[in-house]
Amino acid sequence: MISEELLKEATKEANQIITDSLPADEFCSHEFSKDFQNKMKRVVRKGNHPALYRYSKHVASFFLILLVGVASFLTFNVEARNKLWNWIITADTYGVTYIFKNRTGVEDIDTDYYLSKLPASYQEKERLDDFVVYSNTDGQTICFAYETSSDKGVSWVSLEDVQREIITFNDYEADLYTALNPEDDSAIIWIDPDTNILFYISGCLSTEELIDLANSVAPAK
Amino acid sequence: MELNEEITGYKIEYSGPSTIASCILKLPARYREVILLKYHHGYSLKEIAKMLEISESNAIKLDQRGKKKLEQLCKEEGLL
Repeated sequence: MISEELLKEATKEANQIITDSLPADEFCSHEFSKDFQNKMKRVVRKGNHPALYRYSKHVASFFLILLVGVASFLTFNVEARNKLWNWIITADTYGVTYIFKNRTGVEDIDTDYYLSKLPASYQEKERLDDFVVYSNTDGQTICFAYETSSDKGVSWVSLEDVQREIITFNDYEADLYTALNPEDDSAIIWIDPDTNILFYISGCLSTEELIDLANSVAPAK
Repeated sequence: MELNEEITGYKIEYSGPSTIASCILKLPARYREVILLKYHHGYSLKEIAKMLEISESNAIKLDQRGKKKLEQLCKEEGLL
């Protein structure tokens, strides 16, 4: 058993080792890429929208299904294979990490998407770039997000309290994550091989409702 | 020692003597983050959950599992 005092001493030492390993300021002159700067702008915008930002925790499950989903998809669609090599997914016992790795030859997508067919009484509540929250009169929410090649983000998510299942809808192979607790959100995730976009929908919804919503994703006019 | 950026975060390669600190550096990045934030920087698990955009229960689990993994690493190194 490691005592809290021992942990405090050890973490102080570990932190010092990490700090010492960082390069000196004079070696840090670097012009950040346009991608990175755009990403930072998004982070700042999110910081300026705390009401919406709190929903971002729902996006976590966005990345849950990619492990099995992408592997199956590559087998399923040869043409999609080359494009999907850009998606890098790693997983361990505890969670899944996802990153869009290689933008070479990939065009940026500058299209907004939305859910064209919402369940009764749901309306768009807030939108921040590629993250949209719909809510109904009872305060229940549906989160819709999509990750494009230009986002180039890294995300990590816990693999707890969900059951993963591969499904097919509208010729897409998708991963369905069903919450073990019926009061928690379930999610569906899939990749459009033509655009390299990952789509994510979550909510306290049944499988059929999630699939209906997935089928309703459409580009904004 | 050098820092290598990996998909799962920063994997730290440390060639110094085996200590509890060196075992902390071997932890998966997410565990290491939580343990450093809690025991070195003094943040509460509620604050850590907010910073990392995870639920508080997830932060608690990461803390518990991180410590468990750390103990396991320390035992493997003969430190405990």
